[in-house]
Amino acid sequence: MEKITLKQKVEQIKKGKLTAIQNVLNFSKKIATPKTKDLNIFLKLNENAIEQAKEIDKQIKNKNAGKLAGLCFAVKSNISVKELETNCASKVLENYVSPYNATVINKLLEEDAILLGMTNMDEFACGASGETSAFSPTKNPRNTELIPGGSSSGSAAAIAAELCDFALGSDTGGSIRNPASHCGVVGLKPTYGAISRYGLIDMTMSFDCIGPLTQTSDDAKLIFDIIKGQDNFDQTTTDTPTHRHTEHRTLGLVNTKNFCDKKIANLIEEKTKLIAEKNNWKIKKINLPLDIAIETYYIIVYTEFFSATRKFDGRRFGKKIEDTAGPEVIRRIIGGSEITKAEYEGKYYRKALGAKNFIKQQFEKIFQEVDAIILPTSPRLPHKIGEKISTQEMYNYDITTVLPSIAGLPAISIPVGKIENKDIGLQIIAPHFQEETIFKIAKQFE
Amino acid sequence: MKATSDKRQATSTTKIFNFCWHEVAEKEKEQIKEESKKLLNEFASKISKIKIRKPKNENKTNENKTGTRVEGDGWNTDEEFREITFANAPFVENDSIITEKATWKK
Repeated sequence: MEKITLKQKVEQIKKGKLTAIQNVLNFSKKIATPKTKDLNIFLKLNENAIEQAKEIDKQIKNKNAGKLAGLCFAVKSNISVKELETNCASKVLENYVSPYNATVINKLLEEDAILLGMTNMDEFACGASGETSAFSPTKNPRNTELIPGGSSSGSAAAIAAELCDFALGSDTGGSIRNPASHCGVVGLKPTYGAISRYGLIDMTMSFDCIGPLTQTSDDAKLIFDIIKGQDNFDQTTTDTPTHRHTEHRTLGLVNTKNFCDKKIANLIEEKTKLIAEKNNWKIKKINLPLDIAIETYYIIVYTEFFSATRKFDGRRFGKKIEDTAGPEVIRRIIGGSEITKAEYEGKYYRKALGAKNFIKQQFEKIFQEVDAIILPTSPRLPHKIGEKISTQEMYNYDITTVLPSIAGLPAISIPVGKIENKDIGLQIIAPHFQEETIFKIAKQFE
Repeated sequence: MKATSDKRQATSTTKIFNFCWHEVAEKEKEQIKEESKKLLNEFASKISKIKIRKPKNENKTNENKTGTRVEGDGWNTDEEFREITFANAPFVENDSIITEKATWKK
């Protein structure tokens, strides 16, 4: 049976072919099965979902329901939801109930979407595998032995296991795109400033973005259009400026030699050539500064994460982070604390900010010649949960996703095929605020 | 399958372990400190090699070599920041934003 888009599903709900209550019950039954529980996707469920669905069904009858009437969604556990535990998958914030909604949550509720629950994630979004959660790793629904990717592991897995209509995640250096790739779903990291971060428990505030995870790029566009926009509570936000879209596109295909599994690179190149030929688009081979991507990104992340976690001192929010968090969070705090010492002034963070400017300049040059950039979302196939790897190997999972994060550019991951029966994601990057270009190109690949 | 490339693995000074959550003992914290410092030094040394064009206002920053800030003649407003702030402002008159406390709403 062909899958329907979220827009079509809302039409069906509004026509009475499916009620909001039925939709909630269908997902709830699936979430409650032992097989699904074993995937460890949800950390907390919304006990008021049925009551909310009843209200929405009434609004549908009165013909005043919103654009997402009756659709069910899941939220990563670092996005604040009033009266629900927003624990960042950490024992530091265990039992912390948020007193307010993030702006994105308010926008979705205003359009009559129904929240099903809070999803598992890497602790404080520190991880690329989904393994660092203090409440056990999420399993990949496509192959339960494998990591689902992270840090929005539960949100991506919830879409892959069809446990909700859409999910929200956060992306600092690939945390939406990377799990989307490993779970075979769509994940969008918007332009920095396109979606409000108000209510997001920050990891690295100069890179953090909230974005949707969905089955298709059409669905991602629907959610993006609702949650985007200027917000008085986040002064980095702005409304999306209008752009003229070029009809004759040139795609920049990134040379990933030495940085990426050959099989993955070949699949991406093959698919890109096929789509370019079909649409009469040109392909231009380009180089990105992949050799300094991880180095620049992690120095900035360690520094900003150390600063962001100073509020978790055990007085106002849960427990003291240094005494309670797991090894990856500790690594970033200790590392950040070291490199921000006055004696190292100018040796780490300032150098990384210089490299950040260099990376931005490289993208500006490239976007003078191409309309969008294509490269693999993940440079390698996912490892098995619990498998031993080095810190640098773990960080290298991000090598193809951190550059657009550093430059604040929008990027999407869409599924394009399988290698060794494992899902492969293709990443499309566009200039600032050109998410529309991304959606149009993504649709051709689907 | 092994990681991204042999070339990148060769530069790694870190040990292998599984990333699943566990409580961190003081001894492990010491190991983490040592290892993360090594890793960050590798990273800093690598980005030192790239030739970075200085941003236009690099020489005008209000900092001295002691790490403390020197109050200069005021900041040069970053154009992008100015543009966003003005776009978000409730009322703009010429070059000024007009607003009162708790009225920053469109």
